[in-house]
Amino acid sequence: MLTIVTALMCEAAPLISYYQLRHQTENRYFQTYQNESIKLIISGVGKVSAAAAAAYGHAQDGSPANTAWLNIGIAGHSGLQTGHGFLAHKIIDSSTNKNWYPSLVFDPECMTDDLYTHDRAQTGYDNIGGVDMEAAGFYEICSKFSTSELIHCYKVVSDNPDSPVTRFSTHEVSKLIKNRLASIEFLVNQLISLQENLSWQLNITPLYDELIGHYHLSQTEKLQLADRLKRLFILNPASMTSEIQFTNFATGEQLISNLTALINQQPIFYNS
Amino acid sequence: MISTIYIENEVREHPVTQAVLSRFQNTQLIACDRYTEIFNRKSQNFRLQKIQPSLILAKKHKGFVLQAPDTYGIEGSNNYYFSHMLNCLYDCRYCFLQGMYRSAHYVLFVNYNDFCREIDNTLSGHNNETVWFYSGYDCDSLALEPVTGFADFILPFFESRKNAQLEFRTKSTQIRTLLKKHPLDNVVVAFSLSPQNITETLEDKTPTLQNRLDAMCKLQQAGWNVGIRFEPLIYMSDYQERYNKLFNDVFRQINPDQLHSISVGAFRVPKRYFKTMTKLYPEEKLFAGPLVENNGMITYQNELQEEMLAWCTNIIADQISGCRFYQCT
Repeated sequence: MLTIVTALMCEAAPLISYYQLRHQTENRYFQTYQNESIKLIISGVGKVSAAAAAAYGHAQDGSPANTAWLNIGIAGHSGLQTGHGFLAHKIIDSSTNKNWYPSLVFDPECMTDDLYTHDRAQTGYDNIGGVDMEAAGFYEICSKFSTSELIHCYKVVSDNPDSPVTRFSTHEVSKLIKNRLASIEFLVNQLISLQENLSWQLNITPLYDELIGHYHLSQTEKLQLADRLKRLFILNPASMTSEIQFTNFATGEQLISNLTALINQQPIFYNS
Repeated sequence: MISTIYIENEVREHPVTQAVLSRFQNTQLIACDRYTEIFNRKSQNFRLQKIQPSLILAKKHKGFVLQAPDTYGIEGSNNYYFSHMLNCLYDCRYCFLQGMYRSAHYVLFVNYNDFCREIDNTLSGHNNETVWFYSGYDCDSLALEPVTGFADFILPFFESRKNAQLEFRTKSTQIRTLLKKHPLDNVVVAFSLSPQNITETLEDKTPTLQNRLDAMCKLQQAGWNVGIRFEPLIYMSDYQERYNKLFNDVFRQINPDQLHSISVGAFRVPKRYFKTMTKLYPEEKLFAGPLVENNGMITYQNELQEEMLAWCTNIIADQISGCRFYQCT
């Protein structure tokens, strides 16, 4: 699952439409939309709201590790033309001077730049790079439960020194995001693909659960049992379903000892 | 290959930084205060970063020259190592670096002169004894030479320090710098070699065995001291057949009489790093095999390790006469 956090409904609308996300009415605190692979949360403006929405979304999903996160929204910029999209390669919290460096392990389709998060809307363009109000809060909290390669902030320039911020029309904001859907889709696909790199899972849980129910095992023995089952599965997956009678030993200790012996007997070949 | 370069503000104008940057045209440059802001941060995944590591140009402030671990280097010598780089171009599944560092980005310390100063300080503590310095502990010594120019820089320094011995340890074929210079008696280029099936399955992005052998031949012909490190020995059910072929291939092409030294050592990694490595690569067969913990190290079971070391030692001993041979355990 990839989770997108936007501050405003007008930023989210083109994404909801493009990805055919359905409204999740049971979420009381933040408006949430979802399909099979993407979840979108509308946080409200500001870094505290962005952090809260991300934390809420994470908890709602059962706190999985290594999930992908994307903050999408509009930003001011000191030099880029309005309508341009950029990915943050360094996020600076202007009020605390804390920095984050999203790790770029793919070549983005768009340019990358520094992104300064301010507590209040900025009318000057003193920072060289982008300016927003959410990224630092979003990034700081997402870093607690995922890895920096999977957490990114993509911004579309809404204002610059030549076209300073006055009043945003929600229609204009939606249009800015909509015009960048190709870049966003590229980014979403990259992140989902990276996330899949880390999703290798061993399905030993049913057997493990059966065995810890059958034998009286200490905590250390439980860890040893999980380790031996994993190793045996990797070396010879067929052995897990074959004639080995895992429940025929007198004690858990004997089971672990036999599993260890079985691991040591497995042939190992490295064939290219 | 490298799309992003982080640069510490302090070394932005350093000549080595400028030389490195001149090799990259369309690379994103990102300023930082200290490399540790990026490299040491939690919430990083070594496996994902290995897909496309970035380069970090930094200044090293301390710990330029360190005592080599007991299991590293030539027995009975004064052994030290230094790391002008952290991390490696290659992606070897058995490598302890993936368990030691949070980040897979390459860190290059550009203040090369400070390494020389500390090497001199270390030498002065040993009067005229021979002192070994290893450059390939936290990185491959030569793999990024076209970018770093470190070998080119350090060789003239060692040329004038006769009691200092330098080992470049590598899997790389980047030997142009060496071939352009006259060989130095106190420098050895030690190649890590494994059977081709191990190279293909566990040593991602490395040159083939044959390309490494070709590089070794060229260096030998040019008069450089060449060493071989059959490390780490990897257990497989057909290890005798695989290693026999390796040894035959090597000694058919490399003149054993001209070899500086050969070492063998089984796969071994500190337990705390192994734990991280298995989390990064839970599906890896190498980590599921007949391994045990022994004095804080994860290695093959004693009997198996001794059997492999004895078998390999016997075969190698038949092929060599004059060169130094040692086991790393």
